[in-house]
Amino acid sequence: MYKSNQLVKIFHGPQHPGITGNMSVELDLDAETIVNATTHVGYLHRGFEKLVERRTIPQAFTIVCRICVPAPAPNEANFARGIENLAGIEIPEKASWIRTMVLEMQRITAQFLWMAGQGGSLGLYVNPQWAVADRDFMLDLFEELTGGRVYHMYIYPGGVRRDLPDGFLDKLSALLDYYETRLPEYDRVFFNNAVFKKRAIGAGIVDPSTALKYGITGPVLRAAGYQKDVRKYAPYEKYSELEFDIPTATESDVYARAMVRREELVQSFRILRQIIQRMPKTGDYQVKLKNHHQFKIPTGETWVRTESARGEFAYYMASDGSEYLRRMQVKGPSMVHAMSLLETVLKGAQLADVAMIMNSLGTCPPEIER
Amino acid sequence: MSFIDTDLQPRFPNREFTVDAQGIIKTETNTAELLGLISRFHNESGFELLDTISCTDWIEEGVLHLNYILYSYQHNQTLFVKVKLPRELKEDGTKRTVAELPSVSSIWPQAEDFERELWEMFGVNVVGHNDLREFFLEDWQDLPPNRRDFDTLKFVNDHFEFRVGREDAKSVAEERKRLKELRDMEKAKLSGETE
Amino acid sequence: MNWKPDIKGLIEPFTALKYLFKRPATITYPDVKRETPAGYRGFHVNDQVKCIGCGICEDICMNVAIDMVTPEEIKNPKNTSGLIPRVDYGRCCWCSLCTDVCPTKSLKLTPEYVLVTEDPNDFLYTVPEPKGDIQ
Repeated sequence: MYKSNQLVKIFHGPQHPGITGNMSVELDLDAETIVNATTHVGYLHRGFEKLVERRTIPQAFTIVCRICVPAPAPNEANFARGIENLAGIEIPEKASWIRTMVLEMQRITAQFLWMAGQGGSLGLYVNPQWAVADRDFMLDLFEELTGGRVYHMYIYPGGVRRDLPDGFLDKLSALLDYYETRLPEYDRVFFNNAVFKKRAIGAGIVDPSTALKYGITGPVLRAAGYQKDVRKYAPYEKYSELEFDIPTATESDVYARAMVRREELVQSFRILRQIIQRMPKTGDYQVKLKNHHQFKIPTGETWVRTESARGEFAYYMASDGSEYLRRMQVKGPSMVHAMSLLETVLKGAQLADVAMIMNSLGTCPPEIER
Repeated sequence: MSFIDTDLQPRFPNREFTVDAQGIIKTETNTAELLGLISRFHNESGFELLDTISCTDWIEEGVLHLNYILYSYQHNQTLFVKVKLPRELKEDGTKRTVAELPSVSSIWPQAEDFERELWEMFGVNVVGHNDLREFFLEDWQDLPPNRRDFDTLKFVNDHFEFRVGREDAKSVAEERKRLKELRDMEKAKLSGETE
Repeated sequence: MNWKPDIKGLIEPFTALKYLFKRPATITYPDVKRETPAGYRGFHVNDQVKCIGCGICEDICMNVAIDMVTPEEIKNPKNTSGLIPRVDYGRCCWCSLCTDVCPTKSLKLTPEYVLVTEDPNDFLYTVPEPKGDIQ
């Protein structure tokens, strides 16, 4: 017999339809309402930070992209920029433009993957099918540019590894045209869907008064009414020369975050169109590095930040004068979003909304555990 | 006038601030003053956010360098509050440091997770933290793995097997030397025959 | 209670049904294969006529996937060590650092990427000679 004063404990996870990677949430339920939530991680610990200490710089660069599945490029960019800061390398103009382009393309793929997860967590399965398929067109372009679909290993300390293939920018431009025709369809099927609205409006509210202080970043912060974006307040690569808006919302619920992300997709198209226009035709795309045993970096420390699709991705790096890094510490948005924030947001939510809220906060377990 | 002259130095007259090439403000403190100083930065100087707590193991100096990375949205400034913590471990087998680090989780709840990680991966003895549980690892009895004296390669060799079938790999340097000796010998033989 | 049904939001999602009457976006894989771009990082090839057996590829490989082994026949007289690389595809991550550092550019990656086998030892991949002209 069910007793109303008894709490039921449920282990939600570690496999989820909506998020990449494994993470579980221990839920105390009063009927369908969550009373208490505790995040458990530890399914994916691979020890990247320790591995980097044993590898020379070119060797270490190939593993940093594996820290985050939906967005490897911000990791590569952070690592490359950190090394350039420490070693005092200036990268060529064209490399910087290509990097900006890759980062922005990566943001689009991550938004599509989020869209797929958000639909999947609600049972709107048309959306995942479409979003993953549309993301694949971007991956095809990545494949042509970098030689890899998901892990590009492309942004390299000192520039990028390959030049743009012939006709690449035209293909990108055509793909953006296609994406722009697709967006109204996504609106009809997903963003304006009555089911999605009914479920998402008012669910998973993040308290805006504490959002800045608690280290919340990215679309979650912007949906709480703060116009904060690393690309604006600490611009890197070519972002200071590009025009774009930072969309915000004030409702701070799942729906507001969805609309912010949709608007960011539009802004990414806008940024990419500007990049296509301004990409230098000629020029070097990399600085040659020394042999990896002789590439020694002077002692120092640095802190670099990149705006990924889910929030601020930051690296702390310290070097000790040898060819190895002394320490590389990764701080992804999920470290806060999936731990202290998720635990607070889930209190009082319904069991059926857990997956949706997790996805909406941009949870990505691989970057918590590294 | 830089931000240090206008804002930080008047509030903290005896404190030394430096700025590095990337514009990061740095200051150093000790564990006793840490909590008071950090809450003053938070309350008075507008550093709302604790971005992360970074930790670097400088085994040669015998210290763990902790950086409390604070960010101010208001002033768009990053501040490193550096603490040097002696790295020696307690002798009672707990594998935690003798030196105690006060928890800042009363100011920022997200610091709870950062400190849990420090506690687990570096063996930092965090005090005043109410939830020090295992974070990534499970039943870990060894040395905290992110310390420099933890040997990853030895751990791997002890716990995992390498695949068979790769024993025929040869060292390039040795093989070159062997071939060179072989050639030299043949040359010597050849020149011996011709003489 | 004020009940206002969101008619538009309820009906519009059904516009997706029009895709029932369109051709599928996927391809029927074994019959139709998609074209891989030339720069794809797939299996290795090693032009043994050019390979000098320097072992730089073995040195830079952070996954320790490359072994230097004695071939059946040394095709390059300048091969000072008499060894050629062999790749363990259980470990390789196709980062292409080995091909980047190769001084003679004998080691290359090809757009081939399908390896199906019942014997796990086939993943110790003796790097073949390139077929035709591969850039």
